[in-house]
Amino acid sequence: MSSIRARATLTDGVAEVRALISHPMDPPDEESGDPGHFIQEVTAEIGGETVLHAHWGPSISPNPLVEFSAEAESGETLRISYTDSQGETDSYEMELS
Amino acid sequence: MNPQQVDTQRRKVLSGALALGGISTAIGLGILAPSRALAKWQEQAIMTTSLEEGLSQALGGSSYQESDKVQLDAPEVAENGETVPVSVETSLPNVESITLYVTENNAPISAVFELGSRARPSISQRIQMADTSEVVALVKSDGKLYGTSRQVQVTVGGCGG
Repeated sequence: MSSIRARATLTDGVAEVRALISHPMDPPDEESGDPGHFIQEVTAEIGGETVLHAHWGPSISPNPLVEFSAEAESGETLRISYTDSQGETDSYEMELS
Repeated sequence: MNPQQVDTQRRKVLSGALALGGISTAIGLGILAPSRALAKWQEQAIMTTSLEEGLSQALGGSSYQESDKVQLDAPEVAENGETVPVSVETSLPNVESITLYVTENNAPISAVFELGSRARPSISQRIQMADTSEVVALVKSDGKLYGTSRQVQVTVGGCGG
């Protein structure tokens, strides 16, 4: 199961998207040398076109919730993906309706 | 390698590339990204403790014009600094990016959101705040920076900042 869950409401050609990612967002600890484990980049595409490219750091809350909106049509695919500081990635796709 | 060294090296490489074949060479080598796209994770902006340096890195400048066309929603009092809901919206045209920063956080820049042409300039995000601080939203519109700020009182600080 994907660590990303998303909901989208399509109204008058605009999709309002709410995405929740299960992730610890552990900050690095300089004293102990722990590099932390946090999401660095999040990308959202609609119909293959990038609508959002987020640069994140350790000050984003654990289990991040992000909301955005973009022009979209029914039947287009919304794809959300991320890469974290340990090189782990995950993605989620849904059809907008 | 510390960020300063990386920066110096980057500048050296950049000036070399420019001298060789102009801007297209630099873009081809992936050194200069077109203004609309920050291709890679903005590590220097996100991890730096210097706000000015981070903003210059990500946005090409750190000074902005106060604008009532940038709406920032944040609570006046946040009981838990680990999760502070923040929303930014703007009526400014041609928005390239929205940036959120917390002046009192150790690494002040929380997030930089680049927007594609189909995106509406509206973002909500939960951020961590180490302490009571000013939260600032910056919008890059038509290549210029506009912003607004809110003071958020934090009762129990989050540790991530």
